Amino acid sequence: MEAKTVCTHCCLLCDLYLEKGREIEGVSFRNPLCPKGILAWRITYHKRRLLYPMRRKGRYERISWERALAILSRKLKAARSKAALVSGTCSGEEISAVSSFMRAVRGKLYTSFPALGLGGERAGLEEIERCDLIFALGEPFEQFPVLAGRVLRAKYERGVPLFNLSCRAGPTSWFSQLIQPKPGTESWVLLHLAKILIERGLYKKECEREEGFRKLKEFLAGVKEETFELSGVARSALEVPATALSRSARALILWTPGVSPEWVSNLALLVGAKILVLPGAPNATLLQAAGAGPFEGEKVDVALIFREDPRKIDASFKVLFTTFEESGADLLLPVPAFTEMSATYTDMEGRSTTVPPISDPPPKVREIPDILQRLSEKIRPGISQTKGGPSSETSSGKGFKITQPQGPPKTDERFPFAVVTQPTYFNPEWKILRPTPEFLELHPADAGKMGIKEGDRVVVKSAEGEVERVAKVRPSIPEGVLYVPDFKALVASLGVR
Amino acid sequence: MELYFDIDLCIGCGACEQACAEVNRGEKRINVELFEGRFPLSGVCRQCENSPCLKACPKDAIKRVGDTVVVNENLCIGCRSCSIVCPFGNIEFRELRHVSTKCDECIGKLEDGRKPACASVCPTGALMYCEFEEMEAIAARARRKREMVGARLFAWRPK
Repeated sequence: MEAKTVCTHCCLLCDLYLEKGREIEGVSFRNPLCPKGILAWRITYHKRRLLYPMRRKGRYERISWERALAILSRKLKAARSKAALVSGTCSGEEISAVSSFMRAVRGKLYTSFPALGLGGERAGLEEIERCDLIFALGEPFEQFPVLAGRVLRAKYERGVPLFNLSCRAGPTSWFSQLIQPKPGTESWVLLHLAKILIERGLYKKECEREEGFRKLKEFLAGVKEETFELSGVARSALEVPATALSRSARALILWTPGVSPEWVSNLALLVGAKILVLPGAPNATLLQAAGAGPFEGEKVDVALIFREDPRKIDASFKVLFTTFEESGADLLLPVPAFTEMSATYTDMEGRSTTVPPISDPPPKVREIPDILQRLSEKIRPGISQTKGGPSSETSSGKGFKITQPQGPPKTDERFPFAVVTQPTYFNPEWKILRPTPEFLELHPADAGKMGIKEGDRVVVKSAEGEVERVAKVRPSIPEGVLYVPDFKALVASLGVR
Repeated sequence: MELYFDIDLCIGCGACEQACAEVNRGEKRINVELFEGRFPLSGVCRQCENSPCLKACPKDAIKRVGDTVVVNENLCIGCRSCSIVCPFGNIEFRELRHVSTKCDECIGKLEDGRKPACASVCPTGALMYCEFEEMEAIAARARRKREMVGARLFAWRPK
């Protein structure tokens, strides 16, 4: 028998057909999938699946649900600041339960999806089939392989030109005209593109009516010619993409996580392009609508973390609602895997899909709305329901926004490398499903200097911490730059031991 | 029906490897390699017409089923003759089980009429399982001169 569900590993929400007897037996290979989608169902019976609540007391020990909820409600009552970090992997039902619970306890709602503050027109996935130019920021082919099929079809069957702005020459660059700036200066390139468009009068005339156009023009006129050296991309190199963008009637900008969102909307407004935002996690847009913003670093007392990486928030007591055993939180509460619950997912265009459960959850696993229901009954005397929905900030996203982009990261003797990074997964389950070890890429010349060979284990140290990765020696990465996927900061300086 | 690989469309995502490992209990029989860091190639059995492995097998464990060359693991004695003669290095010896394995285009592993797992999951359609005419029609739809690397036409030119 075959059961249909959706893969929750990224925002594309591919259909996933699973073979099923009494239990799920495997993937029924019907439609294009990426490695994440093929392995997604394995979380259901994974040996590291979290089957009962656990608490940290030196080591992790098993406790009952009663104990766990008692500890949690005590902590919540005592806490002065509370926050929830919600992953877009949560279903729509879970997100609405969490946001109403957090309103009730007066806590803040966070997500790891960056606040875009984008103006410009958003596009759906169908736009790939209609557009006449694709400008890809970052590395969409590596992060969303299923999307690559559609982009390549547009390129080869309709002759759509493909541009790629990325510091690292990854898979997207193999198929496109690459603009390769210095690490972390993508925003500067976009700014320079806008400058060239305005100076040469290549922008669409309709955008003059937009709010802030005059200010933008003044600001760009004040941008000095020397700043072209900041990004390392010369003016002459940007003439081609600028002309191509101005000539296209339906350009499409692909925004992927890993690229700073500054200046994306300004460029889109200038050339009348649509933006296809690929937030990564499935329900990220729903979360933004619920009023969740990125975590900005102020420490909180109690953090409730829903299907998300606990390292992404700073808190003195962390409660993790998760499907697998993980260290880094004080309390682990088991929740159903994506095959075990009825769930609604909303894609980038706001279309929602509801999938039924296709397998039974383990006995001690509880659904998130149920847990929160029982929890709020326990702490009811201390809280009062506040009315008022989340504040909607959609109206302020219109018009041009002027910000000064950051320069490339500083490197010194202690930390001689600049690091580029991007998220390669959006569902923490991939951490334990991944068949290959985590890696970093470096240039052959750098590798030769330090005597690093392909496959060696390398420790990277930064001011923020250190990680151990397997080295991959690649000429596609510039000298003096390391590519460390899933590293904490987007760009940082690093030393290598 | 044959397995074709379009060298221009591969993005090296590794979905075919993963699908193959799923079907074959963790043993992948297709390998994606990057040449010079930017030219991905899916290495898979070419199902040669005049198969050297078939002739080299001392126990007649390798047979031809339709267009596909298949190893009968019950007859295989693990002598590795087939791995040695394979010009493409696509027959792997499994130390643990002491048998040689190769791609069998998922014969008998999936439901009838289903494509091999790697060809069904390939996100860009670089791997396809179809008739020759169908492949040509797909290539003609593209605006480029497309170099099709068939299972029987191997077009990797080493430096």
